[in-house]
This record gives sequence, structure tokens and C-alpha cells, in this order.
Amino acid sequence: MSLNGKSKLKNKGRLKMRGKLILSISVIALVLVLTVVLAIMEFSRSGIALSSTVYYRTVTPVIIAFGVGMLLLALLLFFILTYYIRPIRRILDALESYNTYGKKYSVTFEGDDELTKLNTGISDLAEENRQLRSRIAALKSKQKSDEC
Amino acid sequence: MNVKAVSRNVGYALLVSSLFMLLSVGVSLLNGGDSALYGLLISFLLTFSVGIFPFIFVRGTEPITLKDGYLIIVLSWLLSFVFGMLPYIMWGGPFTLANAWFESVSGFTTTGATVLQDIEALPPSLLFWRAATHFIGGLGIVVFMLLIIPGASPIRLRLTNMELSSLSKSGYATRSNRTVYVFTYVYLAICVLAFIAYSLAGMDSLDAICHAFSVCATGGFSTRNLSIAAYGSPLIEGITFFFMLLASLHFGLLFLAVVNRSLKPLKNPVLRFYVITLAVFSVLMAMSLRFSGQVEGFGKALWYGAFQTVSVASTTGFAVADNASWPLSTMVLMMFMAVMCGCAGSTTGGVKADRVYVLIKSIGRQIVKILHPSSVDEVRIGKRVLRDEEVAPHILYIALYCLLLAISVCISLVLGLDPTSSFAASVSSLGNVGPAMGDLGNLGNFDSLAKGVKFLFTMDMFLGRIEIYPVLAVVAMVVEHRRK
Repeated sequence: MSLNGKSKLKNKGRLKMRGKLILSISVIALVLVLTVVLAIMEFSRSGIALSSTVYYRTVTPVIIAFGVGMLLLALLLFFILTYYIRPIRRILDALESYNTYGKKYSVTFEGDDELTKLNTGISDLAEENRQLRSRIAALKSKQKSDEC
Repeated sequence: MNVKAVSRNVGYALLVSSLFMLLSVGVSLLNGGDSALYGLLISFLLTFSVGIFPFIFVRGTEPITLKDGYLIIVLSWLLSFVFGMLPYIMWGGPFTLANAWFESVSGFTTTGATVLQDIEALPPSLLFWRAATHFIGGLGIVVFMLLIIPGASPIRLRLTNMELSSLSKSGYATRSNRTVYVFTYVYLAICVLAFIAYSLAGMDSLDAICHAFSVCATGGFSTRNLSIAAYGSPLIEGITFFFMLLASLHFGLLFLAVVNRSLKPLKNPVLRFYVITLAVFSVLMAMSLRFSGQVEGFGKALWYGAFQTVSVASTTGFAVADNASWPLSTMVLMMFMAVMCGCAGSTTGGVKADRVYVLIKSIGRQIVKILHPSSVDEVRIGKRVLRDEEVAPHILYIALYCLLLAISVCISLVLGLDPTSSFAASVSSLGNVGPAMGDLGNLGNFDSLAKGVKFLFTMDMFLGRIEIYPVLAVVAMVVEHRRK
């Protein structure tokens, strides 16, 4: 595969996490903007014959849209917490355990975005490091026995 | 609890609702952009965005447990109610928050009770949306959802078994996964045939489609203040009668009868019991109407009696005459039918004729046991023998149903409703029938009720629609979670 192709693949992967966030924020923004636009169109459709019904039909959708916007924001926060914050915290905890107590690094979670790649990368590095340590330890013990 | 899987599957339900909102927008545009156009467009936008949102993050491979399944069913219905009332609230007029909630719940649960005094004042698109809520709720929001979920998915199998009661699958053999399709085919066939029949009988397209939605879902929302009586057409009344009856029969048996081109599946003992009960009650109603002097001529009385019996038993609630001044005996007969309702495996509510049949058979067996203690007698439905552990859940359901009915009557009495209306409206709401008695009768409306009473009846409708247990399961889950 060419270098250009590889970087394209990388970019495709990088867009997954950012893309989801951008898409979700765009949905919220679009909902709010379109609701306001449609409410204004409803208002302007009545011409000069303004009545309480017209005000009601203009104001109510905007209030409801903001309510739904809040709901979507809450959902977005929940998903960010579940899909991004929680895995990062698990990775950090596992790394700390690995560094401090030498526990095996084993964090697994589903997904196909950058966080999964990062986790796989750290896992490989940790495994490599563990093997390197054991080899050094083995070499040291061999050296000691030779000296004796 | 897997919140991710729950949110994704509830999202499906909202997408179904949003699709019908978009169709209502189309109806509005066809009518030159009526007064509900922007309200419906905004409702579509909001419902669609909330429905699609979980799909951005949650993958379709998330596993679900039994508890998740119950939560998905209950939340799908509740959120459909909430988002379904948006078009009403945005249009305003008679739709206060309480009224919009009532109309939405009544629509989705196919109850057909209304708070509107002047239905004809609504714009065509909003009339279409009202009927569409029947259409969505008739088949069941979750069944609609299951049509979208891939066939091989374990989620689909689990939800199929939970949404469709075990009774609905008895009497005919098919794989659980296929049940959804069988129900959908029959449901759509009834709807399309009813639409064609109404159109040929002279209804305009909007009225025909709204009444077809209403009749196949056994809902009862009409586009006219006087319901079916407004047309003054015996042909339209006859068509309505036929399709109400058809929609209250077991869809699986209807499917088998059509596929096998044989009437053998329709010789089912429960079906026979149901049809005989309808016939007996129709004659009793006719006699009551004739002898009380309400209707002149036995033929007319028989027609009114038969139409009203089928209308109530099928939980549709359409009317050919105002029953507000009918004698008490007819009301008692109607209340019995409103508790029993149609066959399992149809779109009707209530206890279901199948359970009443099992109850009668069990009582018969008990009497035989009293007379002959050493006899070995079994409850049989046709050739099938029901074991005690199969009978018990049905009897228990009837007991639970009666208990809920009693609780509903007590609460509505406490909230200030008169005893007759309390009882009749509770029976009607829990059975998803729609019309009750007096001012709440088939040409009346629920507008005059207090907000608390309206909310109580909507809860009855919801419990009746999903056959009580899923709600109790979710309540038990919440209690269990709090204890931990």
C-alpha cells in the first residue's frame, strides 16, 4: 500500500471519533436552528392578522425544541462518558497498576475508533516491555550464576 | 442494565413515529399546507433527531437481557406517547398539555377515546396523524420496531416473545421469528382492503385511509363528530362492521385460512365461543333496545345491537347511534363485552376471549371435581390439553385485571367522578375500548374530566395495551435497584 493510501486510512480512522462528536453536535444545533426558522415561518405566514394562536404556535415549538435540545445534550454527555471518558479512565487505572505493581495490562472494550487503537498500542507496548524486563532479569541471573 | 442497547432500540420506535409524522406533513402539503404543517414538521424533526441520535454512538451488536427487553418495551411506548403529543401541543386549540397527552395515549393504545368536542375543526393532516397513531399502536410499536431489526438478531427473537403474549401464538404453529411477519401481513391486508372498500363506498381518500387505519387497529378515532353515523350509509356501516369483526379475530388463524384456502383453522373452539358470544349479546342488546322503546322495529334494533356489540368487543368504539340514552341493561351487556373483548392474537385489548374461555372451562372442571372428587378431568381447548401450570397464568391475569379495575374505579371516585362514569370509563380505558356511558358514551368525549382523572385513564389504557406484566416487571426492577 502506498504511503498516501496509508495516511488516508489513518485519516479515515481519525475521523471516527471526531466525526461522531461533530455529527452529534450538528444534529443538536440543526434541530434548534430549524425549529426557530420554522417557528418564524409559521409566525410570518399569518401576515398582519396576529392573534394569541399565532403567538402560541410560534413560541411553543421553540420552548419544546429547547427541551429536546437539553435531552439530546444529556444523551451526548452520557455517550461521551460511556464511550470516551470511561475507557480512558480504565486505561489510566490499568497503566498505573502496571507501573506501580507490575500487574499485567489487560483492558478490553468494544469499538473501532482511535481509543481502541490506542488501547491495542499500549497493550502491545506493555507486553513488549514485560517480555524485555523478563529477558533482562533472565540475563542478569545468568550473569550472576556465571560470576559465581 | 444495558443503557446503550436500550437507547438504540427505543430509537427505532421513535423513528417509526417520525416516519408517520413525515407522512402527515405530506398530507398537509397535499391540502395546501394546512394550519398543522409547521407543527408536524417540527415534531418530525424533534422525534427523528432523538430517535437517530443513539445510532451515532451505539453499535447494533449490543446484547440485551430479559430486563432490558421489558425496559425497551415500556420506554418505547412511553416515549411514543410523549413525542406523539407534540403535533397536538404545537397546534394548540383544545389541546392543553393534559388533553394532548390523553389524545396521544388514546391513539397509540388504540383506545379511541377523545377529548375533542369538534373533531371536524381539526386540519386534515392532524386528523391523519390521529389515525396514524392508531395504525402504529395497533400492530404494536415494538412489532414495528422488530420489522426493522435484522431477522437473525437475537434481540428480535427475545422482543418478539415479550411483545406478543403466549396466547397470541397459541392455536397455530409457526416459528416465533415468523410470527411478526404473519401479524404484519394480516394487519396490512385488513387495512388495505378496508381502505379500498371505504373508497368504493364513497368516502373521500382522507376519510377512507383514516377509517381504515382506525378499523384495522380496532382504535375508533373517526374524522367526523358523529363517527360512522355521520355518513348515514348502510354500506359504510356494513363495511365497518365486517372489518371490526375481522380485526378482532386471531390473525394467525386468518392467515392460515387464507394461505391454506380452507375454513378449517376458523373452526377453532375459542373462535367459535367468541362468535357465539357476540351473537347472543347482539340479540340480547336488540331485545333490550326494542322492549325499552328506544328503537322502532326489531330489524333496526338487531342491527344497532350487533354493531354496538362488535364495536365494543373489538375495542373499536365506532358508533351508528348515540348510546347515551340507551337502557342500563344494554350498558351492562356492553361492559361485559368491554372486559372480555376479542381474540388473542388480534389488535383488541381487554382480558381476551381466550382467557375467558379457559376460565369457564376451569370453573366447569372445578364443579365436576366437587361432584366427583376422584374423577380425572382436564381443561381442553379443542384437542389440546392444558396443564394446571398453563391454566394458572391466565386465571391470574384475569384476577390482576379485575384488581387493577377496582383500583382504577376507587381512585377515579376519590378524584370526584360519579360512580357510573368511574366504573364505565375504567372498564373502557383498561380494555382499550374508548366509549363508556352517558356523557362519555360513543358520541361523547372525555374533555370535561379533571386532569388527574384523565391521567389515571391514560395509565389504564397503557396497562391494558401491553397486558400489565411488562410495566409491573419494570416497576419491580426499579424497586429492586433501589433496595440494592
